[in-house]
Amino acid sequence: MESVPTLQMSGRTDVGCAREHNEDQIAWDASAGLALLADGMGGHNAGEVASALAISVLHPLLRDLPADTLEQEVGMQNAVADANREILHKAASDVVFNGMGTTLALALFRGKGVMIGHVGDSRVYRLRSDRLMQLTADHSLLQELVAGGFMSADEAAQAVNKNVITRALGIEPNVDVEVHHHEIEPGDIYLLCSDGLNDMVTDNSIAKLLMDNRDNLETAADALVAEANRCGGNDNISVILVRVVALKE
Amino acid sequence: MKKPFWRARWFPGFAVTLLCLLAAGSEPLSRFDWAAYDLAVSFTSSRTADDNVVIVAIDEDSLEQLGPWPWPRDRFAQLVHQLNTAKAAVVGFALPLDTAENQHGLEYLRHLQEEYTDATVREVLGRAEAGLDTDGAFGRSARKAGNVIFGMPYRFASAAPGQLPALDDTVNAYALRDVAANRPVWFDFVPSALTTRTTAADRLFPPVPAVAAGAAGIGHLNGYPLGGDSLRAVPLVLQYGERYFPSFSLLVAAHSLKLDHRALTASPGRGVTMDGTTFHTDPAMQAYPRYYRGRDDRPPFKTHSFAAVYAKEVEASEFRGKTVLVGITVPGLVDRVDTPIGEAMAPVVASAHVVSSLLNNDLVSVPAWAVWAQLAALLLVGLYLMFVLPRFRLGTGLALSVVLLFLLLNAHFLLVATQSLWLPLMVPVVALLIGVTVMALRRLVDERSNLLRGQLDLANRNLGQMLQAQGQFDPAFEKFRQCAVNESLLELLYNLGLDFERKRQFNRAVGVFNYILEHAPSFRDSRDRVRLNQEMEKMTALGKGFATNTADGTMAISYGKLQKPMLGRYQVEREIGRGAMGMVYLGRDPRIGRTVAIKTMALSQEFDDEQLAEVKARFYREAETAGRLNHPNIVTVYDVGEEQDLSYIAMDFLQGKPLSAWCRPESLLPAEKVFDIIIKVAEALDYAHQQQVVHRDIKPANIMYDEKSGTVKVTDFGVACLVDSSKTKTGTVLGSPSYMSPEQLAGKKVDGRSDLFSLGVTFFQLLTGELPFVADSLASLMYKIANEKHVDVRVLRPDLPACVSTIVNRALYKDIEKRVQSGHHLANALRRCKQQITKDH
Repeated sequence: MESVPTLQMSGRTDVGCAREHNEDQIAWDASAGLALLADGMGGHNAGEVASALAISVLHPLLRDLPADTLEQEVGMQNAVADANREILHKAASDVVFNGMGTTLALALFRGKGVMIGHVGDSRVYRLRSDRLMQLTADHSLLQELVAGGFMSADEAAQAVNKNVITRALGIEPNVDVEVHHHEIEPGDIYLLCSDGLNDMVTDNSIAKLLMDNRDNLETAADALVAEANRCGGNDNISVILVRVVALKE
Repeated sequence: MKKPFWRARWFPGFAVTLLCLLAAGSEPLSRFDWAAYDLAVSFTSSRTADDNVVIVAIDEDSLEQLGPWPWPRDRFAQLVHQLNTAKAAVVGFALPLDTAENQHGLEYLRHLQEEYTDATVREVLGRAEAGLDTDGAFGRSARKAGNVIFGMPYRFASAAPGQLPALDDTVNAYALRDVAANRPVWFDFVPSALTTRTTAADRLFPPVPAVAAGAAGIGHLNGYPLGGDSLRAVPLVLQYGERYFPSFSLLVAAHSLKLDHRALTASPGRGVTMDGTTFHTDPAMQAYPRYYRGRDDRPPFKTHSFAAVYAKEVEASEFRGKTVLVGITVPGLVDRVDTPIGEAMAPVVASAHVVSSLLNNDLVSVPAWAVWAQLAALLLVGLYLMFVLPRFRLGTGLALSVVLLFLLLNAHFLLVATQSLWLPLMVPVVALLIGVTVMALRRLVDERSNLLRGQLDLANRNLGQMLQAQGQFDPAFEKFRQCAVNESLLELLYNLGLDFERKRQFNRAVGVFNYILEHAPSFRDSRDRVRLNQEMEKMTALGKGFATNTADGTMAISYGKLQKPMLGRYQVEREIGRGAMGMVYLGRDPRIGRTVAIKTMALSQEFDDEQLAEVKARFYREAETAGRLNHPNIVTVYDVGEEQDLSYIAMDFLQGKPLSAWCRPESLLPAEKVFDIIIKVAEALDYAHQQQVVHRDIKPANIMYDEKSGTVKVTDFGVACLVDSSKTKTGTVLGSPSYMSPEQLAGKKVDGRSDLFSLGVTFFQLLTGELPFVADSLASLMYKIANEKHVDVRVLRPDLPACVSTIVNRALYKDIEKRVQSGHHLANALRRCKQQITKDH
């Protein structure tokens, strides 16, 4: 697509140290400016099914979205709604798939900006020069307590039931993807990750690892996964790294 | 058609006649009468003179032989003696004899005779005295003859004489004793010489007493040219004080007939009667003698030189029974007098003519009724000029006039020639000539000016029609008013009146119809039209008076028989709605039969004069821009124009209703249809924005939707700017700002994205039946639009997909840069979003 900025992308997904299945699903397409990350849930491999289904539905829908941010946003919402519908449909088709769902983090690069959408607790970070910034706010009970002023950020980090999310695909007939548009700059590095990374690794460590491997996204991705596993690897770990090389007018 | 009286056909004849009547008797007009008289008299001068009249002329030969004048009067004594011997009937001396001769010598001799008693001396002295007393000799000689008449010159009394010198008894004796009562004549008419007063003298110069003593009669001499410049009239009787004296000629004539002055009776104002014969005179006792021409080179009267008679060279038989007149004919000694026949003659000769006229009863008489005849003739001519002549064509009229002129002149000549009657008919003749000339000229001028007027008429009429065709009715009326009114012009005026009516200019229409009625009191239904239009004018005035809304370009529509009103070239059929600044009408273009919606704006009511020109210019600019928009979802603008103070836009007449009909919660359209509509509007706006045209007033009321066909049309492009700028005038925003973007409310520059905000509001309202921003007051509404976030659409419509909120939110961004940037993108987003609706339902 002509409006896609020049990007480098890399990704890793790892089962981690504690789980038997990798329920995460990632997909990236530098030429389409698209990065997708889904964190499935549900028993009997159902989480894998949900995340895979989400990615397979979303990818063709999002790949060709135009540069206009409204269209991107609507397109993203439509795509997520479609994915949600597919997952619900699938879930209804077999009792095995009952209760399956998935979180979502996605980034769509067009022109001088990126449209970032997420559902649940999958996150998107941005490293600009030496500053790492979280661009998404988790759709989790914890986060909403923090946002509501019921809990401080420190208390949240110590909380037990970190993984209670308030929004996911495949749960209800309607799901709202939270979509935000951000301007991009050459050299920006965007990180899409599942909670397997950020539950294990602090933001500071993530920032340090990224800066240490700024020139090589492959090693950076490997380093992030390795660090998460080193810290425990309780969940599946998935990362997608995107570096902005040049903007598109 | 009423004309002033002086334009009437009878007027010139009347004026000329009146003028001639007033001028009659004045010098110039009298001349005509005199000239005509002279002419007539000349024609009849071939009558033969009385050959009993003989003249003894003191001519140049006499002066040569007998010495220079004055002569001693014993020569006259001698002449009288000779003529008496020759048995002449009458001898008349037409000479002034008022000065005595040798008075000093004679007195001295008489004195000596008294001194001397000696007989011889007395005898010598007596002889000397007798020799010297020539006057006495003349007198005695005349007395002896007994038939000598003397003339006495007189001085004409121009004014009423005062104290008059007393006269000698010898003269008084000849005053007429028998004078009939002087009948007063009240009229003073033409010609001027025909005065009513008897000719009067304030001085008489009778012969010296010694001469006068021998007279058989003394009468005044006619030496003065009375009646113009020649001796046409001679007074037969002269008034001196209370006495009336017969003229010398009259006395001579009387004596020729063996009568004397006692046989004469004067009837002032009529004439003189002599022994049964009446000499007719004019009221001034003047007779009009004839003058005779000689025949075969001989003078009319036999004339002998005094010298020849004195020398007894003339046979005595020449004088037997003749009337002999003695007088001077030498040109240097007497003034010759002019006569009507054109000959100047010595007074004695003139007297001979007068005597001859009297003896032959050849006088031309002026009857007492001459004045009435004259008046009657003038009246006749006047009537002819006034009522007869104008009826004929120029040629016929002229011929007729010539005949009349011929008749008048002939009457004049024939009367003089055959009846010896003179009727002064020249005033009527002059009146006729002038009248005919004036009328002929007037005819010519009229024809010429009629030609010019006709051409001017045609030009004015054509110009008027052109102006009318251009819609400039007032100048057209002005032109038509300058045309002569006829049937076809009335037709034009009638149509103009109907045009005024169509343009709702009722008072003008009334003016036109009234003008028609002035000229044709029952032209078609003009009377009804006047009444109708007056009523309409009244209604309009009342409507204006009670209108609370200043910007109400309302046109009354249905008024029975009134002509369908016109706006520009469109016939207004009916009212179909009310716009922001005026009414919307259903109109029809009669030429191509297209039905249009006509949106009117009373710009001149809305703006003051300073702004008006600018606003109008902008209106036309915007309208032109809007007119260029060619999009299936934008209403087509056909025409913009101005009619009186109403500006209008003629556009496609659309089926369906404005979207405002589906804006309440109970009357919402299905979401899909709303999407379809908004998509079309968004595309239309995108097209307009690419043409740099901003709508500025997007709201449900400006979007027409036909449910049956699904047609969507955005209306009122380029109009909202006017509503907008009216803020500057009133200081308030017209209508609700509910659909306005923050930047538009703030008065900042607006562009297409502002329209998209308004469309977002519309979208919101169509989906929810509510407005995104609602407040109690205008101020708080404006605050909310500028600062507060609207309610999420899906709070009100949870059934709608998230993308609906996204789209609404993006359209309602306060920050114009973050807002959806184009209608096209909005449309695309809507299309994507619409897919979700179909999937969901």
